[in-house]
Amino acid sequence: MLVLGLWLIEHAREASVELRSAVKELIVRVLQLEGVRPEDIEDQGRLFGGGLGLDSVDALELAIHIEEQFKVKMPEDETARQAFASVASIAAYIEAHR
Amino acid sequence: MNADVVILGAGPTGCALGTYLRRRGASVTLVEAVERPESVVGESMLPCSSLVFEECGLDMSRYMVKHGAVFCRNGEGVRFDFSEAEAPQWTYAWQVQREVFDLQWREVARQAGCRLVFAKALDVDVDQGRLSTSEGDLFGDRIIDAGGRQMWLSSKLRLRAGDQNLRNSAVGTRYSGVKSVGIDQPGDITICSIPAGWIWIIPFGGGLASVGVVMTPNCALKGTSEERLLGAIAMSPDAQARLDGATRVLPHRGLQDFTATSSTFYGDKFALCGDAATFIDPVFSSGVLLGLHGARGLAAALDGGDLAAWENEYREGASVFRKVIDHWYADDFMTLALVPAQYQKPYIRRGIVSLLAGDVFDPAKKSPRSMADRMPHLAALVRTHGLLPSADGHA
Repeated sequence: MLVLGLWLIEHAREASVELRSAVKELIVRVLQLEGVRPEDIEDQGRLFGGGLGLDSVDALELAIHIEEQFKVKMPEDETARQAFASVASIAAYIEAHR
Repeated sequence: MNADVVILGAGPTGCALGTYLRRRGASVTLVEAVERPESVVGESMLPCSSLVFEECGLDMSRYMVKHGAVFCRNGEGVRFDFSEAEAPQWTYAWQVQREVFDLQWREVARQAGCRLVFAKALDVDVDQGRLSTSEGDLFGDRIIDAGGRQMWLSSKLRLRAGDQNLRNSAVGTRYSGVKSVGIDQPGDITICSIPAGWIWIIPFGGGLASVGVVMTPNCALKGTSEERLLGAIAMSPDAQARLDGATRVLPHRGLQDFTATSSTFYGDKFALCGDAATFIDPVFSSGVLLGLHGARGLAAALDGGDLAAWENEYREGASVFRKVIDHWYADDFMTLALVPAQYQKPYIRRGIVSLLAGDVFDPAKKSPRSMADRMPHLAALVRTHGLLPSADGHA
């Protein structure tokens, strides 16, 4: 049981890493960010008002593509601000809602 | 495909349809009222029409290459290059003089084995498959109207409806001595926005260009066709800069009531294609693209395909243009397009250019449809913040 539990935790983390990578790749591709590689984006880094300097128009564009690629519905209200705070929070939102 | 098809109209749509049908084994008769093609509007081609040009073997090397479009208003302008589109298959198109282009299409259709009859259509009995013309009766398993905006068959069958929201009129002509100015690249179409509507300048090379104005109802432009066009040019410093010293070389051609759609595009024994099925507005040069793409799809649908699915796809593609055309007349397009370059988003330009290129039929291309849907919202953001949000520090 312990082995199974550890195996599940390990796989949950892997899925999460893959998912975070996919989110980073999507951000760079969709927003056509020049000179930014997906691996340069920090999991916990602030997406908006921070290093990447994304704004609400970028958020709208991201939401549309995230919905389509990951088959989730992104929230349209204040929850959206929290969901979009970082790559980690976007990935967590996707995992929780798909 | 064992069928006799009679097609009204040997313009690009009719000839493309005839060519595609001949390849499928149908017997095709094209009926054309005008022996010598005229310099009609519908001169600015879109990159996505190249699918049909290539499949039908049209050699476009005699025409002016068009790499993009310039939109301007009151001395401000923006240029979009077709290379900015989403995964573009073609990054350029052409500006065509229709009296040359239409002759070329007729030759393509003839070589494909279409019979071309010069006659005026007088009456039709769709159930009997009989088209009565000035040169006698023609019979077909299916009669297809590709005869353009007069929507002859659709009107006869009482299927044609004008539009409640778009009731524009137009005046077109040609000028020589037309200049490229500022951001114009050779071969670009230029659209000059004015309070009364907009002016088009379509260059053919050597300073010759198609020039015209599309006017909204109740606009300030009145009088003869000449007075209205000159009045329009007087409203536009952008048009004046390009037409300064230019000379008009053709009589004016006037058009009105051109926005219309048929309630159905086919029946058991008839079909409609091109402007004869639906025409929206010339502002994004979508007419010929829709006609050619419609012709390609119709030939497949008639050859054991699905006519309902064909009409659906046709209307879907047209509806994407319809949205952007409505956004144009609501001023959303220009508001968004004129955001200064340093504040503009590359993906917004990508969505706009994909639309300008006519990429409305490929389900894999998300950006054009998404842009058509979001344009009003994005324009509202620009109006509220003056620029797109991050420019003034507002996230």
